[in-house]
Amino acid sequence: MNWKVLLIVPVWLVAAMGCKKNEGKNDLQIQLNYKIDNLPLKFDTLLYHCEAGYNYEVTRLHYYLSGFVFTMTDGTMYNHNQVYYVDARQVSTNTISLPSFPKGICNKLSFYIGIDSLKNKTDSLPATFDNINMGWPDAMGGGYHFVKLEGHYLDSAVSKGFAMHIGKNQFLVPVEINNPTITSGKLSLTMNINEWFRNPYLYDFKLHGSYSMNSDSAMQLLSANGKDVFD
Amino acid sequence: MEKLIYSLLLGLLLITFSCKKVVNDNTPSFTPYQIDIPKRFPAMEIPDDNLMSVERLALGRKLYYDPILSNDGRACATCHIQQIGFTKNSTLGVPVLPHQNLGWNKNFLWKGEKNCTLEEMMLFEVHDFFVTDIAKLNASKEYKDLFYKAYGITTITHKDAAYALAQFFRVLNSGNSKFDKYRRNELSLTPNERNGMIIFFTERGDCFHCHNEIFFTDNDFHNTGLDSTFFPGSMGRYEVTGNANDIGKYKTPTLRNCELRDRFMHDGRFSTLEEVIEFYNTGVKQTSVNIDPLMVLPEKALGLQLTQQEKNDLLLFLKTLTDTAFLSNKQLNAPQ
Repeated sequence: MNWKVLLIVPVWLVAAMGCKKNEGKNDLQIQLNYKIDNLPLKFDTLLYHCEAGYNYEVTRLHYYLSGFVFTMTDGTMYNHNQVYYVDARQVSTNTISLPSFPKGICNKLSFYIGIDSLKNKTDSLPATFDNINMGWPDAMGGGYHFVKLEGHYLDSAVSKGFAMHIGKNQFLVPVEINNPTITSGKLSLTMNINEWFRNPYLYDFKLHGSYSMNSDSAMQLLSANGKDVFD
Repeated sequence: MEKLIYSLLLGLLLITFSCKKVVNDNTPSFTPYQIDIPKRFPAMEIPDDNLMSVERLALGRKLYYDPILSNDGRACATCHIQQIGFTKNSTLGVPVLPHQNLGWNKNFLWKGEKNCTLEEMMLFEVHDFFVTDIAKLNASKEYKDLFYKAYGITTITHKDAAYALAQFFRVLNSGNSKFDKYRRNELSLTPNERNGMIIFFTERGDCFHCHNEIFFTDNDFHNTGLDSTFFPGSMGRYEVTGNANDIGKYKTPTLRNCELRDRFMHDGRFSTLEEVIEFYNTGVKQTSVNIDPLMVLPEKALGLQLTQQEKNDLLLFLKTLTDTAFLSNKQLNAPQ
């Protein structure tokens, strides 16, 4: 009988350990929401007003989030390096699940809108249709779009397009949130789209460009404004 | 103790077998087939109930070229001719979208009439498009044998024919053009082709936002300003969704092997690539409802303003997307 015990116990232990959860740790679910000041985002609807004085609508909002770091009150940090693609129209991409999140109180959250320089290289992300569509062509420096925010605005009653695209390592958007409210393993982050167009810089389509991809100066403004788009 | 040990053993066996996929049961012949995925392309999702096999692929290929699927003498290959990229040049009807790289596709047809898996799309083709008389397949001893060998079935259904067709569609992959070889550092582009590539992949031409670098389609829908008025029957994706924001939007077609086509856009209004380039250069109707924002950027209100040399170079680049190996691949032509 002893040989049977010797055979079974290790196998059973391996099987049992495979099912064991990390004690004191659970998934953290981040829910991404969108608003324009006091209004919820409704795509394709000319309903919003930006600081520079234009009425506008949003037709597309795609972006990456990465580099999550949670600092707990006891000084420990939780790092999560995965890159998440978000299409604001697609419900499934607006919920992010971070595994093995520690118990305790978090007093600071930081992350990037975009992808850090180690991963922001052509073909570095898995070749999915979404990642391929987010490609930043090598002819323009390579890597990926960090953000694609597109829509129409009214200029003297004439509808015109805007395409706020951000890429390139120097325009990575760092975000910091103090004392994030995490309740029952859930954290809600809301992007106020108007923040892309103000604070610290007033972004005016006519003055700074209705598209940004080939303009470092436009991306510089947008990147700086992006730091507090989430709350 | 003895009982406990045997109970544990039984439990472990159950755990082991509950994790194991059971596939291809009742399939008399299953020779696994590995799809040759072009470099830089995504992995392809293959459903568990239609894993690739040599026998299934051969059956799908045979069906693709066999008019038995239709009731009017047509086969898939009648309108999807390999030598021109599995499409057809014809002045009649809606331009035929090419059968290329559809194993990664979710939105099918110009207006996205079908948003589904490849197997579901093939079922639509067999059941609704061809209205296949399945009795004809069941009356064929050859097909009965082939389906039995490939799928272990004795009665052929529309679904079985669709599954076999999906196998063949998953190998209709174009990813070995001159441009692909250039990206793999296997050869160089000429200076003019390279200049055209730069126009394509920068804001100068801004083609790449809809025609991405791998598939040369974003698998999405856009109104690029072809028309400023719309009529029932030509309202684009709106006719599928009923959403007014989709009026005028059509699926982005792939540009791979576009050199060989002579009908462009959803209604075939252009017959040369030069006409297509000229449209984007000077012809976009900026007041079109739901026009894509990228088409009405005020800085480009007068069109792309490409010079004749730039237009020539862009055309030369588009021709580097022709994949001669795909067009002449004997594994994809009509089986003997």
